[in-house]
Amino acid sequence: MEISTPTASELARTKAQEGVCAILRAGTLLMSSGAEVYRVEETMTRLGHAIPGVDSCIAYVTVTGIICSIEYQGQTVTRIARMKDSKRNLSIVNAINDLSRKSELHHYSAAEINEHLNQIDNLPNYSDFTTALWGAIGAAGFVIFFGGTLIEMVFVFGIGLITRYLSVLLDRLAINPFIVNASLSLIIAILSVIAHLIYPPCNVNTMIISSIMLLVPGLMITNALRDSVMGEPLSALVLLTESVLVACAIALGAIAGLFIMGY
Amino acid sequence: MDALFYQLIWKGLIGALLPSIGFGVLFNVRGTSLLLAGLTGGIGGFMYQLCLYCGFNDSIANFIAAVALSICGEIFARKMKTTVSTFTAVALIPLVPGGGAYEMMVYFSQGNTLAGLMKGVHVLSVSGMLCLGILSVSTITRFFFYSKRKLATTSERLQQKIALGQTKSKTSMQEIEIPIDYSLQSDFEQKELLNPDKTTKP
Repeated sequence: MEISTPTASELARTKAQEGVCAILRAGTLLMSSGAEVYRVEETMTRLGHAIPGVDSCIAYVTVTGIICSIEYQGQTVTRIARMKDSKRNLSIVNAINDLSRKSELHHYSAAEINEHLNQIDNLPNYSDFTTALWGAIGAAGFVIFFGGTLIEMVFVFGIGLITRYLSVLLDRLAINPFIVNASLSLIIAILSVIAHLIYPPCNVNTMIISSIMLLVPGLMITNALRDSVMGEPLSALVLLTESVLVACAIALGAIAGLFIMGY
Repeated sequence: MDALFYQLIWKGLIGALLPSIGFGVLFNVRGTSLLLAGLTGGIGGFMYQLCLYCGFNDSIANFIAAVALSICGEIFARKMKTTVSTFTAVALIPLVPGGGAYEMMVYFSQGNTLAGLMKGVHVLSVSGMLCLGILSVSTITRFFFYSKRKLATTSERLQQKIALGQTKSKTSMQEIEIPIDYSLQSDFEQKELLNPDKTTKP
């Protein structure tokens, strides 16, 4: 039995592996925080090129998966990550952007990038109650934007609070997002009709649209168009299809709710 | 005057500011950035209502509002040293045609295909206008700062040459310091800005 010392090519291979893992982790984190596709690709390429010793780094990012390949002293390593769901977390996007800027100045190694990513992973989040409260306030704000009255605002605040709370609960159960959206909009429609029955001058349509703004994928459509302009037509198509399907699920839920309540 | 106040300040500013702050919390924006993002959204809503009041149609109103809010976003991003999308993504929420997408699907599911199609085209045009507004502002600011930087470096170079020609003693060794604008970091073209040995060496 003899333990062979690693040759230069083997060392380079491990280095390349470390690098590709770190960059892929950064990309996955960015993508699951809801960054735009072109931004993720750009950041990954910049991080990769900044690692000392890396000859070339190519990242191919779509909404559903990421491929990243690194060449380190003649050794190429390629890895794939599959993207499942994404939530928006702009503070993570900011932090990773910051990291890529710094790494261009200081040329971080793979281990250092991993260390920074660990810190970014532990960034504080708002508590469930705070997000529910502010989501409800946002929904109430939409009533003003759509020209509703103060009493509708109060009702929508209540509906928004319930919806946000339920959506947090349903997220934990890991059900299909389309079903989640449909059932949430069903609840919104039922509650809106109940509010209308309690106080008849309230407009059901205003209340439904204001509360539904918490669910609808309006930003997704705009981001899809932005991606397609920035040279990512493939991801743009995927996002556009998904947003239309989500809108369909929401509308079906709302119509079912109105039908149940006989409105 | 009262109706104008109601439409611009209450419906536009407050009505867009509250949802922006609410969604800022949902998107985990923190601290002063959250308030500024809300303000950006409020300005967008104000411009939108102002354009509607002046009799523009919906698409143009959205375009102008997007331009206004992304100018604000660019300014705030440079002040706060964060990415522009922290402000624009949050501020776009009130303008984004989510309600239109929902109405479109309601029309389709009621069998009213024509109204649904019209609504769908409207939704696409509005979101296209929004993204065009943001894109045009970001392109112009990029170009502006790029040309400003080019101008600065060329003038420094010229000054150095002149100084070299006249007095060879101290100015030739002078270090030129160009302030690094960190808020430009999201732009790939600005790479050389962050690379000090490219900008400082003539």
